[in-house]
Amino acid sequence: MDILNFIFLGFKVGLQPVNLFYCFIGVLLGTLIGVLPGIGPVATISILLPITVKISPVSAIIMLAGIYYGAQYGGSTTSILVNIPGEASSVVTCLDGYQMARRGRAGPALGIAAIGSFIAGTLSLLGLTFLAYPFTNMALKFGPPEYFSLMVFALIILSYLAHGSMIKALIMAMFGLILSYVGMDIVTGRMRFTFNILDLSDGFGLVPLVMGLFGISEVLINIEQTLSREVFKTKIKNLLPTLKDWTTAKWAILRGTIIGFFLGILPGAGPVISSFVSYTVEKRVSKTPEKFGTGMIEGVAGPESANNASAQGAFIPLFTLGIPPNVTTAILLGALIIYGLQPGPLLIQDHPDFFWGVIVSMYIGNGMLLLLNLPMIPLWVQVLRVPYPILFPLILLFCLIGSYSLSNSTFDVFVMIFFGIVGYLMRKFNYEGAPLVMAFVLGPLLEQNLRRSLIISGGSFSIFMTRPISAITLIIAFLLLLSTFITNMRKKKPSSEEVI
Amino acid sequence: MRKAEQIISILWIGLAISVCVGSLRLELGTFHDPGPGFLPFGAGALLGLLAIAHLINVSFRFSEGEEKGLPWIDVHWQKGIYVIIALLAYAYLLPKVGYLIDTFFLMLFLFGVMGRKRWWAVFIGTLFVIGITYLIFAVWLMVQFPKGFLGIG
Repeated sequence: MDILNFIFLGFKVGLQPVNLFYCFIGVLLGTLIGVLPGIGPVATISILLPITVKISPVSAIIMLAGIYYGAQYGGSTTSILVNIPGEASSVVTCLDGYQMARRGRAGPALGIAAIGSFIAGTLSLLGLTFLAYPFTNMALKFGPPEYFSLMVFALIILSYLAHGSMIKALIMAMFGLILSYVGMDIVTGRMRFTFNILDLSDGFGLVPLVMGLFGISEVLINIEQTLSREVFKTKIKNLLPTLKDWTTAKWAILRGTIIGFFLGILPGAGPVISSFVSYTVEKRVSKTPEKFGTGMIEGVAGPESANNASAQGAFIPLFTLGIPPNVTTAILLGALIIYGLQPGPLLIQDHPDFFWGVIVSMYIGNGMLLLLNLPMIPLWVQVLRVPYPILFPLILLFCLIGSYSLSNSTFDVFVMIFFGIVGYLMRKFNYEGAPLVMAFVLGPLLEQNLRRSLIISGGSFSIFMTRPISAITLIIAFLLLLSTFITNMRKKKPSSEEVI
Repeated sequence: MRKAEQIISILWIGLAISVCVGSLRLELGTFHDPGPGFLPFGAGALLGLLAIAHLINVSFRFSEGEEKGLPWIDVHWQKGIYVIIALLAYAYLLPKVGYLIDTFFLMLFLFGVMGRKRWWAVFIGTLFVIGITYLIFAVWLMVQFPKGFLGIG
């Protein structure tokens, strides 16, 4: 079967009415939560995970993926109109997007964000379509040592790219690993750290854990602050950018797409870093860098393209290697495992209908998003006016129902509340949740591959250094750790704002 | 803030020690045949080392600019506590009183007390939310909600 046949198969799956429905629901919800500050794709995907258990895996992933990349579209609306980023990946869009709105150019800013996102998303999907096979062929040559090293690499790079202290991020990763070992050991059948609690014999559930860490904690953080959302009062007109806007923005869109796509594949980078890097690059290549921050269209087009390209590029390592490059895809990995699918090189071979169905649905979803975001912008502006006191009880109720419905047990509800408190304290003391969740999802796979590697090598750790791919990834990971240590010894790591 | 960070580091060290001791009891096994405690021990030991490094970092390298107050200044932290208590009570009472009654009181509290809206709006909003969620989850997705002592839900 060549690639065209696979794409045809994908269209057959993706165009089924039920999948079109879930794709639409996904991108609609994605745009909605992207527009609403205070709830992100991680929390939403976590909240909806229990519901997706009741539908087919392909429809479930089509919907959840739609939420992920749809949120990247919606996030720009609040950045441009309210100067509050709907998503972390739209933080930089505030800088020039809001200034454009203040100058009466909210329309072109929103338009270029949506069109740039569409172009970047589509180009990125083409990359995903054609790179999936080479990646899969490469991954088929991987053994347990390579997988172990890649997972260690993913955890270290995610911690390296953490917003704050790397030590704190690594502490979170270790905490996540420890949490993942609670429950029955799959090799010996012995109970680990369960304290004779029967409900813990299967370990902590991914859903209550992420719902607590991201859903409940987000509500707890938001309700203690008084957020003022002043929607910029301007008539939104001329959504389609002018020829001059196009000439200025087209290279920014292309550069943003390339940056986002490749950073999306890399573990740890993701849409947030991609948008920051894109903004920095646009400022560097501009003939008038001093004008950035005053309403330059490249400052909107580049980052918005980058975050979309990154969101879709992230599916390459997830589907082909089974290694999630960021926290959202880590939850999707967990979801796939719950549905009984094992992401990795065999996923494309054994379930081509699933893989290509999801890929094709993303093309369709991108088209839907363009339609949702351009003509319906006035509606999203109205959504911004929904007060948080109405929104947060609904978020909490969905979390409660979601955690309960997984196994009809209040134990999971208590677990979720517990991790909600943990997540709240983590945020207060600048501990990031992403390394924790990534380590929690990868923990059992990491242990499995370490044990297998040691059995293959007869107990020698040298196996990780004698196999080239494993050795290279571990050396890069070690160098990253070393560079952070040296930088810390010399000076404080610059923040993202300082980079800009 | 420095003191709080130090206390947190010590808590991490305490957790790391507990995990290491627990892992030793589980058996570490050998390199040739790792036991169930092998990787948890490694993770616990690394957690301990990182926590010690963080403790040293915050104790000796905290610059004056970084010395801030606790992150609960200028925020309404009490609201979070009320919400947590409400959620815990909800989870505890759910099997006893059932989904409909339990959710009714939770929503009444969250919309009314926390949201400070007009009572008639809170009442109608609560009934609407319960109706919609019941239709979606119990009827459409067939989630088995607890019925409680009244047998409704």
